[in-house]
Amino acid sequence: MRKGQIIFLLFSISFILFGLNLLLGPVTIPARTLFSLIKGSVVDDLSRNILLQIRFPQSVTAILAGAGLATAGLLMQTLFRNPLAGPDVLGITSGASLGVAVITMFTGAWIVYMPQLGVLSLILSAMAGAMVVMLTILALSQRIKDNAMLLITGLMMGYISSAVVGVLTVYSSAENLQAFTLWGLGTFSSVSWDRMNYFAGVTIIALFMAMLLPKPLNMLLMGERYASNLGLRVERSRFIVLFCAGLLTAVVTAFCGPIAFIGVATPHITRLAIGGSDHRILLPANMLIGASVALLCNLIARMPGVEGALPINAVTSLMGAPIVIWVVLTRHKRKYL
Amino acid sequence: MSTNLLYTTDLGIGYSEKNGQKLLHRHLNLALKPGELICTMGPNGAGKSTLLKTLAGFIAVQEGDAFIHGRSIRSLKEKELSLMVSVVLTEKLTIEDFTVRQLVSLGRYPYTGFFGRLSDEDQKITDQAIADTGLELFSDRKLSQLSDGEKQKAMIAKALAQETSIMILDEPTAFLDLPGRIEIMRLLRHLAAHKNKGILVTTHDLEQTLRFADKLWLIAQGKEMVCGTPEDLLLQGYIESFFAREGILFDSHTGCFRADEDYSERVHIIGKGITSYWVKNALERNGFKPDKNNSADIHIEITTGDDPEYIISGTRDNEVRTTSIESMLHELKTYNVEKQIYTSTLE
Amino acid sequence: MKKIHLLVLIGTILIATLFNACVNSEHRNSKAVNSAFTIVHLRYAREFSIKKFQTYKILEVKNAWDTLHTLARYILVSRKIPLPQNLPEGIIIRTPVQSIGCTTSVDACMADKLGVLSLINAVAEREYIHQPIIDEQFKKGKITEIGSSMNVSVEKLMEANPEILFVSPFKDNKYGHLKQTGVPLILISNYLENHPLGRAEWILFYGAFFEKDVLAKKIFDSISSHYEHLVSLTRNLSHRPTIFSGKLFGNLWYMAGGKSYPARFFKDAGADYLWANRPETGSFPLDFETVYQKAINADYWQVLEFYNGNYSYQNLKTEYPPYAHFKAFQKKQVLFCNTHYRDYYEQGLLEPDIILADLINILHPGLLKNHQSKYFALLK
Repeated sequence: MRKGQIIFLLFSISFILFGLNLLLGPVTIPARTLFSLIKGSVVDDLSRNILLQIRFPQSVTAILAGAGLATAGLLMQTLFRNPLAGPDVLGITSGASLGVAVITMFTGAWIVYMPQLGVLSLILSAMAGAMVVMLTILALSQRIKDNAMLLITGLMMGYISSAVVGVLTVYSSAENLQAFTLWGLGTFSSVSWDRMNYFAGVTIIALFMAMLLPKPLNMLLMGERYASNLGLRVERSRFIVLFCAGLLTAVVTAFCGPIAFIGVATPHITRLAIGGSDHRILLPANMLIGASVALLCNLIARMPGVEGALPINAVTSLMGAPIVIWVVLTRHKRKYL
Repeated sequence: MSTNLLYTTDLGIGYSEKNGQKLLHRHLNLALKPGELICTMGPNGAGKSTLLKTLAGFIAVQEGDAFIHGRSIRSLKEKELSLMVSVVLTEKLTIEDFTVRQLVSLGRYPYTGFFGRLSDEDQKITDQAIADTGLELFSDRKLSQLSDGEKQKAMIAKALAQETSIMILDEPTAFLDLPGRIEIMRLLRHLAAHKNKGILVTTHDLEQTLRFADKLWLIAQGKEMVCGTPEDLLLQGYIESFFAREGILFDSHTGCFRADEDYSERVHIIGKGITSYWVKNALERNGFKPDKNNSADIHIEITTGDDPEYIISGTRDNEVRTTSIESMLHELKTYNVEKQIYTSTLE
Repeated sequence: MKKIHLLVLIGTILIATLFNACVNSEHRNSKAVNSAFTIVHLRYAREFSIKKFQTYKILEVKNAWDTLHTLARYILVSRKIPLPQNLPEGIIIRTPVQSIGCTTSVDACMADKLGVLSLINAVAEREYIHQPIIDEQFKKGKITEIGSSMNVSVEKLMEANPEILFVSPFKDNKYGHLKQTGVPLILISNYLENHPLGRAEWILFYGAFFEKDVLAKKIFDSISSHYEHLVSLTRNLSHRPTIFSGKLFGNLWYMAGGKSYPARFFKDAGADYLWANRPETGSFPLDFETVYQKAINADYWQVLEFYNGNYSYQNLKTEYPPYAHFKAFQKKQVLFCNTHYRDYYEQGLLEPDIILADLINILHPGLLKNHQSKYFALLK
């Protein structure tokens, strides 16, 4: 299949899942209501509010978060040439969480909800935490050539971050603790329209940045020596890739809380679907597949048939962990990474 | 000087470490001309890889300078260097789900735009590189489906597509079988001669070096580097001295190194040509020293014809006739030294 | 043997026997333990029981997670009498106790009501206890801080050495390590009671330890009669405004079950709780859409929040903008209690009648005369 056709197919899948996320939910809303709303006709308040104020922003958040995390994962897997690299596995998400924890200690937990200045501080602190971990991992990767060892180091970074958060919580007030705990559950429903500007803005800019990187990424895939021989300024490119991945992880984590597995698992789905490693098609396809995965998980989390809802991390873990295990089992047969 | 693609002045190579420099070799004055295939050889740990990496720009020049296309390597940026030098390294490819064409087209990256899109020109050059390395039939196959030799050729094709005047290859024949090795060296020689490239190769394969290299650079720890035409260096005894080791002998006739074995008996061989050479080989392996003199106690005569016989004579009265080297060896081992058989040598 | 030695020997034996007899006779007298007992009637509480025997009382705390077994049994024996023999199995406590330790402020509230605050010599989480006397006692060095209620320090407890320590049991027991201190742990499960008055009735349980049973009963009767009076005012009202409670926690909304104590409050306050028909005695999770669908037009919304400062509608809206769609929000009919300043969970346990009055006052204005709200007020 040609590149254009693949992208079109993936886009259609995402679109369908988006539609399903609008249509399906704990409260039954008939399809024609949705269509009426789209057409601009008058629709009952309940349906209108549920669709526009709850399901729509939640779906948009899922799309952006899924695309963002999947891209961060792909970037990291290429950068570290490690099939199990990902924002959560390498401790980047924990670093971002630590950043959020620190800022909530100082400003109070409501920063998690505040627009404008609060949002900026939130993103910056998550960024700071993510980048600290990311840079540490990068520095360590110079010395640790073994992929498995690097992953373990990443896990340890995650543990360290979590431990520091634990210590902070001992000294925090009860309301900060509760708000931070809530945030730590991870959800796509935390971004309502008034904060969507910031979330969507930063995420889209970062995704756009990533889309400019297929050439350096392809070269990095060959290894640093070959990449440099082909004219790539390796140190600079590594930093840019790192920055982009860190930014994506930070912004998604800051708004949605830590979301597991989408970063690690999606690039493998993409590579299987595309059957190649050329980042010119891998990047956009991966974004679309990441969005689809997030939408699918959101759908499952919200529709257990009863009135409750599953935590989103439970669904992403159930989906993602088997994929990671499969990646480990097939590592000898795998033709990439 | 001006026709040199690459030359060094007083070059010192090595590594920078925390407590100063570690220099492996100093005062190197080397040159690579267009149309030349140069092989670098030396024992392990000699500094071959370090030299290569320095000339390719991967590690820093420690002393002196190296000039590529007349420009100091210290001043060249990655982009500029990518247009002058292409490399094939020993690193294993992690990505095997590229097709041959995709891999080779990566060689065009120094010339492509921001997203790495290939122009028609780039496509043509890619296809030409694939053809030059004889991989046309494989161009749409995934790398995972190729043999080692074919993969190596694909890497060379990629370096070719990069259209640089200098190609540097680190042990390109290391894991190949004999026909594979010959193929690669022949290809490199062809590229040097017909595309006017300067090709620098490190290798352990003395046989192919003697056959295909225009120049040989010998490098060893603690010794000054020696450069010259392979035959000169052989006849001047440099090859032997660079690889000298206890119990290793160099045979100047064949250009081969051999183990220096103890022998129990001297044997006089009468016979000529190929068969005589290989009888000697078998005898040496089993502890018999071939002797030109008639004075040796045991003689072996090789009869001419389509089915040669090996006639052992010597200290015993009777002669033993054998029809294969295997049976000859067997008889020889049980042969009583007293018996002698006289043969005459024709060499 | 010489005669004098024999005399000394006989004399010693006689004295020993006499001594023994005296001791034994005491035992023998007490052996006639009366097996007759009265059960203290509890009107609302279900999680404990008190049985009065002639010389002792048995207080039992039920096991909510395993109804076949008792969680704890305490044998209360007055100090004024010698310890009876053949007491049933259980932890023996001599009453009235002279020093107590508290791990929650409920304990302190109970002690306050019973007038035994001065007996407290060990306290956990001092910052949550709002009695000034406690502060004074701390200053005088008469109270030792023993850590947090979840994490009591063994050493500190041993240092303070109260005669008993009140603790709240949880399913995964967090107090096992305290057994080594030798301080008897008195389990208080009043938070498991589903009726507000049931929670308050635990004052009888507390009172027994100080031999203040009569005072405890008096206090409880006053509370319960006030409460029951309020219920009678709303029982026959035809207009019952609709109400719901809680907030989103992450992406889940924990709604109080139909048989929980908040639901009981709503019913007794003359409101129509939208989830009254749910069988849960605790809370259960719902997603936002479901709550939204059912409660969008509810008259009132009860919110409890521990907030440092002035909580407002703006806060709610910022937390989750769709909250602003609820009719109760738009009509500014959110019943709010800031638990940072109003001790709903602790002091409120002993004042269910006041809480009920607060609710009635808002839900049915004018029904009560001159009521000053203490816990709940309409959010501004």
